[in-house]
Amino acid sequence: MNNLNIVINGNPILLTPPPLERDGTWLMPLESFSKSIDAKVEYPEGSGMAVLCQADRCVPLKLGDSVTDAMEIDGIMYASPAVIVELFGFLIQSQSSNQIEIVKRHFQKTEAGNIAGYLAKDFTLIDLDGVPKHLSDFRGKKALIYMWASW
Amino acid sequence: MVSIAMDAQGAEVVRPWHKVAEAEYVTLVDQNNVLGKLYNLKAIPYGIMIDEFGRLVKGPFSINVGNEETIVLLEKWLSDPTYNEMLIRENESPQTIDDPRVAEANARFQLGIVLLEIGKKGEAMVEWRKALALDPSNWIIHKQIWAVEHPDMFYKGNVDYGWQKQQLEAEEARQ
Repeated sequence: MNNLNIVINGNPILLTPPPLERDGTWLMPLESFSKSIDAKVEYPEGSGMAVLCQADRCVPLKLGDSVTDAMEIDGIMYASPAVIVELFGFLIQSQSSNQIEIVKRHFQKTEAGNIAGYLAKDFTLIDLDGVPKHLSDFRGKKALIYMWASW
Repeated sequence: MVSIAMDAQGAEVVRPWHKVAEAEYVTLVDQNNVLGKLYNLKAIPYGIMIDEFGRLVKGPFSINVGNEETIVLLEKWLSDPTYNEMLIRENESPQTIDDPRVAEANARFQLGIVLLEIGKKGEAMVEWRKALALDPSNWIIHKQIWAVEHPDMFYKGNVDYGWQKQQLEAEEARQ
């Protein structure tokens, strides 16, 4: 069985359990890989997604069977590093059959809710009947938020 | 479609427009400028496109729903799943600037909204004018001042844009 050496910002990282090879792609154990890039994983009930958050930047990953999804194998969640790292400002510097090197890219400081590809920050506003509605209520459908005013 | 009225005066001034439109979509009221602050908005109408996973796809951007190109973009977005990913990759997200003057303007604007709510209109206008002086390109604050001080130019029949032009000229002359 092949072993994969993982180096993040010049430091070798040990993942538990170790990465798995599937269809020629290396898959990382989601929990410990997230930890190594200072991110956390959550599985919001009924959402069909794994949500990875680094500080207040969150990225959804569909739960599924393909190498671009978050995949469950023998009770452990795995995902491809390529899918995760770029979204958190890392770069895969080099990749061979037994080593992957990941480095931090420079990110301009921006409001997390404003970056395309990240989860838009949830908000709560009142409808015309006084009932609070959340942006997350509209998950599952595409939404056009249209901001206007009476003036 | 989620319509959001950026109206400091609340549901009362929003409801008539929702009724006139015979809207089947939901209308929310952002009375306290929550989205204005979150997305650093300076004017309306503005749009934000969010996909079914909750990801920001495009915007905030200035939107004109009468514009043919906009309709085509929205229709393509709804029907073509690869277009969603393309828009995300292409998106030039506006960078939020940490400007202390803008932060103070937001705080004073929100304070004024609360003062207006409890009936202290005079004090509210003082705060709003200070907010505008700190963030002069903010048309949400500017128009909100006009709408509260001159309701007849906004809520008696159609919005009077001729009056707004005169008002702007007078204000600029005073500076």
